[in-house]
Amino acid sequence: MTLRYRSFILPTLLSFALVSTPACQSGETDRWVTTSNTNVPIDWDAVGKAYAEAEGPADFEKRVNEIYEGDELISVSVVDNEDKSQLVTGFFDENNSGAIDEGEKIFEISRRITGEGKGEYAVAGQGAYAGYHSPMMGMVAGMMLGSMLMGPMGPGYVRAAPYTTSPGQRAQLSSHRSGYRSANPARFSKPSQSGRSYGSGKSFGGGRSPARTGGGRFGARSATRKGGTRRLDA
Amino acid sequence: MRPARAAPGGSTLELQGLTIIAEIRNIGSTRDLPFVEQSPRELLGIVPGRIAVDADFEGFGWGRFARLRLEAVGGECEHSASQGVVTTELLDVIVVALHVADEDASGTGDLDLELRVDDEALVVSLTTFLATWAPRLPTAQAWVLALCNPTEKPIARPASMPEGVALWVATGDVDAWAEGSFDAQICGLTATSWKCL
Repeated sequence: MTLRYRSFILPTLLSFALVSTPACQSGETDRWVTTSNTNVPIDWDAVGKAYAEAEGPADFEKRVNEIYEGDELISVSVVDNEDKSQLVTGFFDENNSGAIDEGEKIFEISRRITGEGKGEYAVAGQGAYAGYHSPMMGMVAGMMLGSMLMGPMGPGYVRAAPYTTSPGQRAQLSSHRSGYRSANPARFSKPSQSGRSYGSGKSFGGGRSPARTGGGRFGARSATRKGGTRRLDA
Repeated sequence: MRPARAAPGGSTLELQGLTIIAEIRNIGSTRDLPFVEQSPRELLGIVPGRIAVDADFEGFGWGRFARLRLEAVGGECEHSASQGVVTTELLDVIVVALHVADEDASGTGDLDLELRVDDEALVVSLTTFLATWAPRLPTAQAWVLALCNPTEKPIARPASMPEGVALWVATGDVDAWAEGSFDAQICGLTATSWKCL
């Protein structure tokens, strides 16, 4: 299967320049939805961000499995349509069929083009996560985002063939996720069991929010200093 | 030809009709430092997809934030508390991002800064630095010093601070982060404690 998601870089427009619903107004209860069928929460903000930044289906499925904290692997189906709309479905491929079977869906992301250089997308929980609906999030040509989301905005866009995580790919995903969890013991320190929540959602020191991106530290690094030191007195 | 723009403190050379920016920074005083406005992400070293804090981050400058969260993980702050972390949310903020020097020779109520320019580490006291730069920064409800204070040295409010502007300073390491979806992201700084001067 050939996928032709083309990367492109357009002039800068910070990715958080467009605002739909400020995070502080959405609150923790909105972003961390749990339902009666599963107690493993999904950070929907992080899923939306992963979609926005992904360079293609394989990149997205890798990111989304890093976000999900349960035992199950999340498979992904991506369908691009003639009208440049895109439907991304996340699902638990419980029977390892490589297809979406009844009751396996956990979320859908729909993207559509709304005008010249403009579009929007939204994330909606499915099945056990059906209670979640993200705000409709806008996008415009020029935003520095992944080609999976912004592909139709770029020149030379070519609609890709449908994609679904194959059973073989699931083995690679599982291996990748095991490595990722081993490298992040603070977040994945408790035994994972389906239907059970673990990890920390808020605190910084003892276990940071999975949605958090690390920035810089404002100390000095004399150990790595290469050049000389000089004092300015005025 | 588009005019060349020399970096603060740098020199511009003309050679055979070409304009070349020579990164020869003649930094003789604090005002020559390339202390410029940056976007929030650039200023705080936010790189999408990275989880860990970048302990080797060397960027410095200043930036405007409509909203900023200060987290105190082991000390005092104001307002709400959750899971042992005390959070203060500020609106209309200027963040002044600097780096503390490993060895502090400054006086009482002051801290030595160490700012890397090219391969050179330039040391200047916070008081001297703000005396030069505070008058050049825009006003806001609050300024926040993104500046580690590992020895928890008490910091005095510098005389150069504009009246009516709160100044937040930290103790401990100051780490930057961003949280939330890409279009509703909020940035924050985590330290042992935060104090408003």
